[in-house]
Amino acid sequence: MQPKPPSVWQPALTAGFIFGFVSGIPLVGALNCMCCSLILGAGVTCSYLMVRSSSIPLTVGRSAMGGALTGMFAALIWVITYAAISIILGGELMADFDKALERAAEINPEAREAARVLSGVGAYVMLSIMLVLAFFFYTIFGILGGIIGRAIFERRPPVPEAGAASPMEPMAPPPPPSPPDAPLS
Amino acid sequence: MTLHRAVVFAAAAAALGWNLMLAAPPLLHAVGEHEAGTLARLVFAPICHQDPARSLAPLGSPLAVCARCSGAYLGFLAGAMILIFRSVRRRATGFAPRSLLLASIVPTAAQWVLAASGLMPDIAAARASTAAIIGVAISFVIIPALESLARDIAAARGSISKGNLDAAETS
Repeated sequence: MQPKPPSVWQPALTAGFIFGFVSGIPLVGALNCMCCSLILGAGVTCSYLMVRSSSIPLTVGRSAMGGALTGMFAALIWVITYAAISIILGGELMADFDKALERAAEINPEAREAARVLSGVGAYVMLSIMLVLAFFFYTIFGILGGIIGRAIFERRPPVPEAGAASPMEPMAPPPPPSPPDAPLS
Repeated sequence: MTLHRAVVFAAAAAALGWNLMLAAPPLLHAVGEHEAGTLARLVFAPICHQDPARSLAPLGSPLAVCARCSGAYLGFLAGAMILIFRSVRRRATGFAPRSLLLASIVPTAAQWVLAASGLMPDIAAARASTAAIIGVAISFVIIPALESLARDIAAARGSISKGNLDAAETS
């Protein structure tokens, strides 16, 4: 019986939840401003968990799938955590977005006008847009993290596909020729 | 076109597209499309602090991400273009991924420490160039892995046996 490949759901849920929650915390979540390092870390962690829990080597495809799922969960948990903490602390729901708009407005007077128009968009609409963007970016960086994690932690050689000759195994010799028909006595 | 080149070209194209998206805000501001430029910049707000004082600013307007992030993404593109050459790929991917990635972080860490301690000026070019090394290292890990994935998919579809695929690649 062939061993089953490692499950992706539990490691992805675990890593996605932890890193998504951390991403939503005000100061710690700023680490994502460094090329999504928290989400890269989430993908790496997912691959580590998959390598540890599996008896067969983790493939690139499975690590990428785990990373993608991790990124999606992390995006969802990030938005929920961010919104909850903003409400609990009594701050503006989209304070970070307003800061991003202020930075965009520093660039030139025309950008200031554009930023002013955008700041009029409702907070919940903007939160929905940020969720969609987070899904997109966190999935990509999750995939990258998953592949990197597999490259770092998976040291077992890949399993050869069934029926294929391993490079180390000699090819099977051809069958011997059938003997000529015996002459009738 | 061999599978190796197809994967590398696809990765380089994706990296080029990503870098062009980062350059969209200053380009849009330069042609007077300020609302579009502001929107294009805000798209990348979830993944970077976007501090204009710490960003590269071609055309007089900052890129959508900071200098360090820009350097990393440009480094990935450069790494993809380097890997087009098979002889370089063989040498580059001979390093263990863990060692390669750890070594690539050293210049960035050193630059950060030296800048934070005031021993050297904290200029955008230094941040970008040290981060580019990380981008190159990541491309040396990611692209061969994608090639391996493409190979597995091609073999699984049965369009070509894995042994023949390997033989075709090395001939």
